[in-house]
Amino acid sequence: MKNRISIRDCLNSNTAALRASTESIFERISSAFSVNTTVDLDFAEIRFISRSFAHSLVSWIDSVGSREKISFSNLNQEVSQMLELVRHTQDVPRTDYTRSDIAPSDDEIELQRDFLEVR
Amino acid sequence: MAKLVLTHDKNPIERIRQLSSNIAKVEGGDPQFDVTQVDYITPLTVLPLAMLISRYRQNRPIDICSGNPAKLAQLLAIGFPSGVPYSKLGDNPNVVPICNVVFDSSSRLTPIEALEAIAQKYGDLVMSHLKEHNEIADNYRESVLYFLSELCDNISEHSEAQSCWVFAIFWPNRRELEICIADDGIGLRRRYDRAGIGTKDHVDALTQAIKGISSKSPDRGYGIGSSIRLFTSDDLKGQVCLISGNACYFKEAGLDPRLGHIPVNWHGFIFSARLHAPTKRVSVIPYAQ
Repeated sequence: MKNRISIRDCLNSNTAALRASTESIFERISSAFSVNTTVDLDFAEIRFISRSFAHSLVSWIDSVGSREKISFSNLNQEVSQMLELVRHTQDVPRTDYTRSDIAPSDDEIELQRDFLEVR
Repeated sequence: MAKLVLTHDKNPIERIRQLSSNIAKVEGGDPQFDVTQVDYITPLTVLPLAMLISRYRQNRPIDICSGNPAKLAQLLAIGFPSGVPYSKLGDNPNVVPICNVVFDSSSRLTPIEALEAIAQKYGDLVMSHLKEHNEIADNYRESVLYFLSELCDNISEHSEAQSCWVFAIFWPNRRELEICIADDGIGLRRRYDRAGIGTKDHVDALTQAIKGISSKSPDRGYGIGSSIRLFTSDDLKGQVCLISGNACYFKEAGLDPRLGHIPVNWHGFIFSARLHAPTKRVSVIPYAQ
């Protein structure tokens, strides 16, 4: 048997922004689960999900060992890509925190301590 | 009488310098504000002042005056300084106002629900004001929602803020959008301190946040860095300014980042971005990795 859970109804919104908003979805999934039950998370009318929301959802599903029991449906392209991206980074965790293109090196930071100084 | 001065728009470092000067004037405690020398209203330069002035207004009456009635009217039209509660967003469809959410027990929604509402409703309002520029709205939409969502999530998860404020302006002639979101929480350095991650000072804490070091877990911390990458990309050719404590970071597309101290201390976090209208729909996915 497959239980359908509408993300739109859980959030009362067509945008899924906050990590904390996934709590209500977890509660619904937990109460829907029983022996021989699968859950379909229906993303109809959801036009956007943040990376944080997607990360929380995917992490929770993995943590309860339910990747095979929970399916996603009615994903638009943006939502689908965000979930795929997060799942990929969960499977292949990042190791490099150095983002030299946006953060100056330590030496450069020392040189720039007075931000408003005219250079 | 504190004379607030906003006379530069093109030079971003000069805007930050004037913001610092104006923050110091507001914190000086004078309840009278002369805005005669406010010639350029930008979200970064106006939103933090609105927050500070509103905070002082709780304790005593303030007076905002100007020798230039047109400028005063323009400021009042956007809700300066008190802002519009998120629950009244869209009541006046002709204005994208300064918007705020105050996290107190009288609120109808929980802080999480209110921040979720801001992320959605403010993004929708900005997009609706671009309806005469449908193509631009479509191209911007995902980037604006991503930014509002990730920053509201940070405020929800880490900030311990009493309030969150957001303000955006689109300049059709220049085809530029600026959006600023700010909170009055504990700021980045104390967030890291509470997580047991030592930082030398506010500049160090801001650096850690930009690099993606999460105070919660190693597989989090993407929001700030990915937003910077997105906004300063070839797609949006923008500029960003981040302030926490006395640390300020500025980066413009194609140029080296700038990071250091400013002469005031912001209790919370400010993230402002100015974006050129993209010529094609911009996907956030390549930047969210």
